[in-house]
Amino acid sequence: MKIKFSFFFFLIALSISCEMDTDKPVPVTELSISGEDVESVFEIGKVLFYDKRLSVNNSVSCASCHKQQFAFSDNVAFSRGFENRLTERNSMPIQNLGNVSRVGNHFGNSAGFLFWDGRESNLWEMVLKPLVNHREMGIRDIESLENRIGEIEFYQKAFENIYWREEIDIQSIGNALATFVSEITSTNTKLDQVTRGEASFTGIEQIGRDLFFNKYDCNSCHQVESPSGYLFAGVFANIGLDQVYDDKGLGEVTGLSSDNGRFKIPSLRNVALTAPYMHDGRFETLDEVIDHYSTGMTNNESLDFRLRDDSGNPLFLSVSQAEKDALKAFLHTLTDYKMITDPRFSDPFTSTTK
Amino acid sequence: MKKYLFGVLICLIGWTSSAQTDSTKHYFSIQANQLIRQLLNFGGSSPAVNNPYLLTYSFEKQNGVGVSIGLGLEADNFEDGDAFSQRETSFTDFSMRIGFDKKSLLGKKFLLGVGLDLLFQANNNETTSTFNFNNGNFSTNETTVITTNVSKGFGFGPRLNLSYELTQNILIGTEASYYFKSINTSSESENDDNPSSDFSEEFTNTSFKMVLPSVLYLTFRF
Repeated sequence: MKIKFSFFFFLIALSISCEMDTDKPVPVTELSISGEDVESVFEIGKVLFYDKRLSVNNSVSCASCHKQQFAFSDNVAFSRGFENRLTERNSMPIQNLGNVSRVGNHFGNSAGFLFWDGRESNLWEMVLKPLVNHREMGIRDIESLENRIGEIEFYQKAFENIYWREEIDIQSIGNALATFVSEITSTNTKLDQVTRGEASFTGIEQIGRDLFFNKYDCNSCHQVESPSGYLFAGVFANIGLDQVYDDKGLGEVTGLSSDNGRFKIPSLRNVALTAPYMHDGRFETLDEVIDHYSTGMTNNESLDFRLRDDSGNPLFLSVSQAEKDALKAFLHTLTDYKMITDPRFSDPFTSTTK
Repeated sequence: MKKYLFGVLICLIGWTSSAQTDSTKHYFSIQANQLIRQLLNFGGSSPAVNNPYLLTYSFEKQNGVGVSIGLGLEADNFEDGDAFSQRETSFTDFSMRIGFDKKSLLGKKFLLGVGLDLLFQANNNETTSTFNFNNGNFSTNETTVITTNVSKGFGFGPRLNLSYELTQNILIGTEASYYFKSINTSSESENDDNPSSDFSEEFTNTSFKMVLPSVLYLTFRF
């Protein structure tokens, strides 16, 4: 009996120690900011995007969860908000959003669907949501956000230069952030260069491209040649991740059971940089994602029609190891190194205190 | 409402201590997801476990009826930061449930448990963030903000367990539940540099939450 109890308490101690998690360090940036250089709404938007003073306790900025080196996504399943609490979904990459959410020179009024569940279609409104989210940046309301920004001398001068008025309102804050976000574009991947005749695929990349466009027709959902990645492919899909939904996705927005488990089809541009994958970051590698389509889909009633065979059963792709390697080689050609290193989108703050 | 819950809790504990006989079977369970992952790591694709009950205890009498208790405690204190802000966070999450339980054999090796639970949970989170900003175009700015979130709540709902007997005394199982919860949260923020941005508020959240059977319990039966 003693031995049993000792073993039991050993397991308890071991399990408790396994529960303890270490927090990921936040990267330190080394660039400079000067109010005199701010000449456009875009530049104010960039400063706002990287400014931690937009969170209630000055501890996180938009860039804390949307890091340039990861195509403005995060490299953890769930990012941490202003109180170090985990957010509820994986950070989506920010790129080419101007194409899906802006019509002409105006933000909004478009067919674009933003966030994993598409609850926003207006970029101007989308950029403000994390600021007032109780887990993400913790600002209590729009008015307190206006007051907070309005008290900072830099923004007073910058907004006055552009809008010729002293008061800073939510429209101008949203407009500046949306302008910056919409300008983050990925149009210089190797695939783009090949399309423009500036480069050519290696053998394995070409095989991967053929598998992607022909044999497995991944392009029927992920239209990688479109800069937005969404044209003609439908916006949401249930890809058979779960039988029972802990997170209903689009179903939480529409209230329709047929929408349960449907999430926005992400762009595959920079996909090699945006791990972990899916709305909950459950897959850590591209191998795991391909394995899911290969053998792992569950047959739920909302499974997308493109993932069913003629009998209505899940269309397991049964990708071989060699094909997987080729697909991954092709997916790596979707990385836009210019976007992730472009100083135009980089952190304008620099530390002079340390 | 709290008085009634407390009364029910006392009655259940009293009944628990008086109802045990020699033929009573005791089940001690521990959440084993992380442990199994440490021992057998087949990749990182496990979904997150959102079941807060790290330890559970239940007993069943000869007719399979008994009581089940679950406890969960997570506490941590950590610091992070970068060139501009330093942040210290401490949090304590406590969860407890108690309820009736009916166990029955399903075939030779499976043990099915059906229960109805009362829940209590308390969470305490305090974050101190110090922000330093000193740049040619800005005045020197050092601001400390303390945010505190305290939430307490109760709930109730059905639970379903399914275990597999590995040996006479060791079982491995999982559970699903569908709990109603009512959580009262009070939030405060104090800013030493700008008291006008301080706030204090209180709100109540009610929800029905399904917890999927993603948890694995390693159970010892005596």
